[in-house]
Amino acid sequence: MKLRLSPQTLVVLDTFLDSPQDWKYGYDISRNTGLKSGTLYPILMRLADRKLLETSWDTSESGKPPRHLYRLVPDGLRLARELRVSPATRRNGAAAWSEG
Amino acid sequence: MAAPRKIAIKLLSAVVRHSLEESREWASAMLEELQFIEGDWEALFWALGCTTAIFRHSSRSFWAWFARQFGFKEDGMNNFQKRTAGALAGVGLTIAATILLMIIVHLSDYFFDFAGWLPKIIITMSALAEVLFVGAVIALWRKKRPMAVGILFTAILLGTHFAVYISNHHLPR
Repeated sequence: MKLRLSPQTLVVLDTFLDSPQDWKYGYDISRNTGLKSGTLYPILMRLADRKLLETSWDTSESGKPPRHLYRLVPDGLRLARELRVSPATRRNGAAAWSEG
Repeated sequence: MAAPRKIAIKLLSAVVRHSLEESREWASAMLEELQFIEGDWEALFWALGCTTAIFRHSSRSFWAWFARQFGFKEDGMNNFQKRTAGALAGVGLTIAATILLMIIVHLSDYFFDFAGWLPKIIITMSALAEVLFVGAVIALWRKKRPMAVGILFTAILLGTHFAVYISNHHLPR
């Protein structure tokens, strides 16, 4: 199934590459990328549906509400790196990459 | 708590309650995230964006379910399936518009008491609806022909039914 690699999706993938092992919060990604929630969450959902992104709940801080966390899985990281190192791929993102 | 934030929380809480199983975890995540947004208006806009995101996700889930039920490929439809879906959409739209029109006419009769004028008003409104349907068919014929065919087919069917109904019930014999 094809993953729509819009410029916004590439920006999100790029954000995860800054510290690949760290979990990230939705609002923090939104602030870092400048994407609104209505744009960001569909991207995160699609990445998770394609098994490129894993999610978890952060319940570590007592007294604070739990937060959803996001991190790229190895396949997602590979894709993000491929697209980052290859501007040509980035330009033709949607056509160039498809999953299984 | 400021009003925009209250609205945002209520909106996302409703989304969590009413979203499909597949989208619920995401909706909950969005609701929890709301508490970490400092600005009240920002929280409201966050909630509005999240609501559209969940709606789109739920629509996709519903379409995936629909595709599975009717044997369509989930990643797209072939030409025949696209045409069928277009024609069915046309049929659905026409029926929905007709029902809406009937509701409006009958509610108007309830509020304004048309007395003996009701059949004439129904005939006029039906003629208007037929004109509307023909206009839609002409507008859609080139770009969305299956949908136009669906509308045309249903409009003819409903128009015939209506003509028979009026001649049997409202015309002097």
